Amino acid sequence: MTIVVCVKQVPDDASDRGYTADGRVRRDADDATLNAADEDAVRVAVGLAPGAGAEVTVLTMGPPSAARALRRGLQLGAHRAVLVTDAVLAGSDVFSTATVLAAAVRRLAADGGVDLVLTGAASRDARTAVLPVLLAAELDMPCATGATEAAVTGGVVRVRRRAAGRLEVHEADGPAVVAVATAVTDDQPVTTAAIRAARAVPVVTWTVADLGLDPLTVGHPAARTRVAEVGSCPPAGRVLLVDDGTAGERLADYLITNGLVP
Amino acid sequence: MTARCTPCRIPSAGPGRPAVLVVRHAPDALDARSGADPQEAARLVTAARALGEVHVVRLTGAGGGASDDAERVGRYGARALHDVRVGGDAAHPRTLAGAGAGAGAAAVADLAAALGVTTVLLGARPHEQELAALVAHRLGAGLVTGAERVEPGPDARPVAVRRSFAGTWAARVTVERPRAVVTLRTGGLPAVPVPDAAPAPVCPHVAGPPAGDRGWRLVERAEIATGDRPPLVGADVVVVGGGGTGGDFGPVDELADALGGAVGATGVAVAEGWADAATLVGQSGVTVSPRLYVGAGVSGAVHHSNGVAAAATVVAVNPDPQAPIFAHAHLGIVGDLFDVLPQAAAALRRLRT
Repeated sequence: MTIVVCVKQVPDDASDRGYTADGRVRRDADDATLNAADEDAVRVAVGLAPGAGAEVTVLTMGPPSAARALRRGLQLGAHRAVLVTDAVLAGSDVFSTATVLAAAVRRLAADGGVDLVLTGAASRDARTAVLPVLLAAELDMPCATGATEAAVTGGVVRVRRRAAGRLEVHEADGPAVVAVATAVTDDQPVTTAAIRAARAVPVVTWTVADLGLDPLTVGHPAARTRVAEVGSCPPAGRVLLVDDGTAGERLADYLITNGLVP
Repeated sequence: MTARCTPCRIPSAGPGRPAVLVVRHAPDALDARSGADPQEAARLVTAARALGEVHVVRLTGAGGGASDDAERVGRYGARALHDVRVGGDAAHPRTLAGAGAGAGAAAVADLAAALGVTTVLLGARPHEQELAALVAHRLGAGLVTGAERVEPGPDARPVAVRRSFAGTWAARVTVERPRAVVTLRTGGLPAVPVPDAAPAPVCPHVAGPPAGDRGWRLVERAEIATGDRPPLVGADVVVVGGGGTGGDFGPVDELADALGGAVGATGVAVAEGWADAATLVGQSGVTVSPRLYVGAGVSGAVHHSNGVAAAATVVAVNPDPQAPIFAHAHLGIVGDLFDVLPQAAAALRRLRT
């Protein structure tokens, strides 16, 4: 059985990030890295795989260079790596991405069963964090986000999560899609032995045709939104206020209305 | 031609005006918090008014829900308040959706289709983003998350303005589908009542059956003890204390706990022995990339600022208006952290009870 971890290659925070002329996020940066939150998901998967009698497959969709993110996943202990790469996938929106990853998960399931699909909490570039629920909707699986722990026993997926100051444990009949909260694992350094072992694992490459998908349903032509205009600009919404005795209340209001209260 | 709400027969919009649906959804554990935040509903309805005739849908689950009342949303110009009661997974905090997509998303999508709306507008909290995505999935609609504002486009559909890469880029996003679902960061947006407002008529709806048996079962629930903080590395929210604390991290801890965040310290605070070296945030300590960074009594020396450059939102509280950290702050408060932080923490706690 397999635990699939969906990961993403993102531009490094320190790099010069931006858009291409036609309004897509630049994905060609040679300093792109594995999204940090996805490292947590890989570590969780690697940690629970032996107990679940499962192996871990890291899965991503992206340009050929996204294999680097998979290589990092293998160094963290994943057993197999699958890259869905195809010229027609350029400019995919989150719905396309969910369609493609779901098709890849179904193929992995057909190859030997999938117990659990993990993702990171959010990607560092988009930060929308809606891929997990869309992936689950595509796969018709239960979905839990913000899991601080996940386990799978006898086909039952169990997650632990924080919600509004409470700790909750939920169970569902698997397979399920679980988004792992950030910082739930220790940042153990990767050993040279692990790097060597990862080098020996081939990255399996699938195209849109391999997944039986209609190319017109994915990529830039299928994108449901367009970036009509972009501009580099200083961060707006900068507010400087002097405490008149209500600044604490206004700070709380700011955090709530900007969706910053978890 | 004119779409009408099925139960109440309220026309969705007048001639030549598109209909817009504002969704208010507070999962059970968050209902009080959302109910205590009437300004957000007012801001969403105000923003929606620029796009068309506003209908508000209030999703309530088993454990309660958003408490926007008809009088309040009417004051800001809503044409109707649709009260949708859904069972099962729609009541859960954040998604934990069962098989498929969850009854809440299905109810909102059905109502949006019945009213013929062009835009569905929500707030931008995590559970609202997830609901938005599932609604867009069901409607085949375009999705823009975390928009800073929405404007009417050349046709009935909206244009959303969204910032990315720590706010250094602004994009105008258009929708390539007949419908748009947009989540809006309402902080900083105005709430403007309409003249001659009347309470919005309330239309009760009953949503379809909850998702099947393949959903989640709650097997354990416990209160988290105060002080049980997440680790600094990878934390979603980080509150950092600096020299301005004078060694008293009480307010820093208090705000971090109210936000469920981690506590960090600057080089000054660590050097003075006020904080553990493991909590050092900056070039020589931990580099953080939280959704929210709050610097309290932090001057913003470059080796610290480099360590927080990736934070999506930076808030700074410092008595010195010339403190360098204000150059990085999205919200800067010139004030005493011993006043501001406890007041903010108390306001946040109030919303939880």
